[in-house]
Amino acid sequence: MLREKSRKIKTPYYLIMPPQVLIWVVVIFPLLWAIYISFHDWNPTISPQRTFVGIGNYLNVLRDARFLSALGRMFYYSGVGVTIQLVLGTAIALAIVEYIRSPRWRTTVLVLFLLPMMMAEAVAAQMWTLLITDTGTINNILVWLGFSPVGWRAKELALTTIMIVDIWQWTALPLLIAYAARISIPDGLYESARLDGASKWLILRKITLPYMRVPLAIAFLLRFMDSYKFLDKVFIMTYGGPGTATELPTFYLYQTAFSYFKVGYGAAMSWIFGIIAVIAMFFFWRLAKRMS
Amino acid sequence: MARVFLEKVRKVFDNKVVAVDGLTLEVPDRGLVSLLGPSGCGKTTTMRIIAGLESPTSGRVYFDGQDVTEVPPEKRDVAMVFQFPVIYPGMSVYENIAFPLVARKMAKEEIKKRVEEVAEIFEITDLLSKRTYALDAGMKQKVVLARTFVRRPKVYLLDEPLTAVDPKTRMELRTILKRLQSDLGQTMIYVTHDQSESLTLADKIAVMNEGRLLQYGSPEEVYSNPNNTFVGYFVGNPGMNFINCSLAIENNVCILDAQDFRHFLPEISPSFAREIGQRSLIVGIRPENVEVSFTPRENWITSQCILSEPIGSRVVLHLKVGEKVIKAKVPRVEVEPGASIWFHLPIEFLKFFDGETQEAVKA
Ligand SMILES: Nc1ncnc2c1ncn2[C@@H]1O[C@H](COP(=O)(O)OP(=O)(O)OP(=O)(O)O)[C@@H](O)[C@H]1O
Ligand SMILES: [Mg+2]
Repeated sequence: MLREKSRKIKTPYYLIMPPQVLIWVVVIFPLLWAIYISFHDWNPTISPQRTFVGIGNYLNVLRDARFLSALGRMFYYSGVGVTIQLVLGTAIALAIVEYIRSPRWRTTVLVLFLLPMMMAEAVAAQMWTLLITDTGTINNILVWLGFSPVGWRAKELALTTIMIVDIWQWTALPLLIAYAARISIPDGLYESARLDGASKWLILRKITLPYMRVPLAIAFLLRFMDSYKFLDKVFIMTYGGPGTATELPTFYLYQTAFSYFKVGYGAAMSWIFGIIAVIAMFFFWRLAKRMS
Repeated sequence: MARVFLEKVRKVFDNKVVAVDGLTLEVPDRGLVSLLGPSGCGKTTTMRIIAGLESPTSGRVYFDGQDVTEVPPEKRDVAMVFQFPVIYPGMSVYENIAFPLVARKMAKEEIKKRVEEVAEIFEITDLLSKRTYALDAGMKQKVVLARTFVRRPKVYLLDEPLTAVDPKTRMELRTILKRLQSDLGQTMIYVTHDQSESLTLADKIAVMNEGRLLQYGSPEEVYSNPNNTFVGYFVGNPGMNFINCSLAIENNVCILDAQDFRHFLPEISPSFAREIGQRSLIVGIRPENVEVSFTPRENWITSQCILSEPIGSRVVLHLKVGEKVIKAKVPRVEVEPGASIWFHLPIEFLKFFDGETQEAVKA
């Protein structure tokens, strides 16, 4: 009887064993390995020898001007870019609901806006790279319209150009979320507010936006997380250049670990970058919770 | 304060449903009119047309003689309360009530004064600082009513405002509404399918069925002189008894012949009987007007009680005569099912309707 009982208790552990093993092998072990590596100096192309340097790598990362300016670029890129995506997406979603009555037209317009999002990042990047060369289609159109051509990939503009392309591709996501949130608001609220004499502006401020707060916060979070790990377009459109003008932390990290093979230094950098992400999320959630 | 006039209003929805059909109705300034009718008869649609939330397919809407058919709801100065309380989420009770005043850009102190005043009336002063999501339906509806009354619109439209509210709050609110209406002297249209609400609140009742107005008059008029069988049946609890019959004359005395029983009507002059007796008739009488006796009476009709159904302090007896069942509403008594009961239909309460058109036959 006792044996029976103890076997019963063990069974669940056997059952969750395979995924446990998998998680340890592919997630936890590499993480621990990365921590271990980050305390060493190691260039596998030169020698298999790892030199223990303590927290030296971490201190160097925090002093690394190239890393810090990459980080600054990231906050510009995601702060401004994601905000524009969110504002634009919400505005378009509200306009669709306000001005397009027929369900068929609504679907058509929505799908049109969603198309860029369905394109692979790399394909979109490649397409835009061709469009924005100095004698590319965009500049040709500008010239034809009587403007002077724009150096889209010049040092001052390159990061913004990538940001614009990202806005072009990803505004659809907040748009979709905002649209779903907007049509879930009961009509009765709007009817009641109109009868109460509220202007469109007051209704937007006091009813529509407060109602959409949580879904919009989630949209922001999704886009922010995406832009945090953003790499594809930089890689294809500018390869971090000109100079380091479009070098985001992800790209610098990639270079450090896989071009310069400073593996220990890269590991430390990725940990710092990760911790910053966790802190950012933490503040974001605090803010979202305070709002709702 | 406004006189509302609907002229031949008709509303056909996209799915071809005719919700309102040629409705002409005048609501006097400062009047409290109740729209009464069964589910789906077009009451809500009528209200939404008055509010401007729906535009009529044809016909016109006038406020004080001014055509407002094309005026959008926000410009009509009309307040509407829906069956289910519409609370603005994320605003406190105070902000909800203040909303129409904020929309009018009223000064802060004036808003505060008015909100507190109206909160007092609806007895929700202690809720003002509360958030709204925790309130029950009754409380929410109080907030909505307060929001309606805070701004003193031209016309109040109340669409079954008390249906979703618990009975205790309902009684409370009914009293408050009646008092407010008579104090403020505002035009108010009140939809209900609870006729006791209609009868106690309204100056005038408009009975609707299938998008049409069947009768429009004081509660007294609608109750005692229904225009047709539908009104007789719909108003009253339970509705009127209807008996298919014809009038015959024997020995110069008028007799109501209902096949299952005959009833002497010596009060009706044979000439009148001859005049209307040619066609098939329906005679109607309210259950509360049927007289019953537990002992045999001369010339009263013998029946069997098949059911006694208590309603409040009274009881409704279902009396079977042949194939027919007559309902009688009498003060509470104990009646054994199957007991013999004698009843009598007093002439002054008999209403005659045309058997074909169901319309009242004028005496
Ligand atoms: N938006 C709409 N589209 C199509 N048909 C509608 C619409 N609104 C109402 N109807 C139909 O119009 C008729 C009248 O509806 P209405 O809501 O005015 O009735 P009501 O008298 O208010 O009923 P209730 O007592 O159930 O509230 C019903 O048959 C209803 O199904
Ligand atoms: Mg209704």
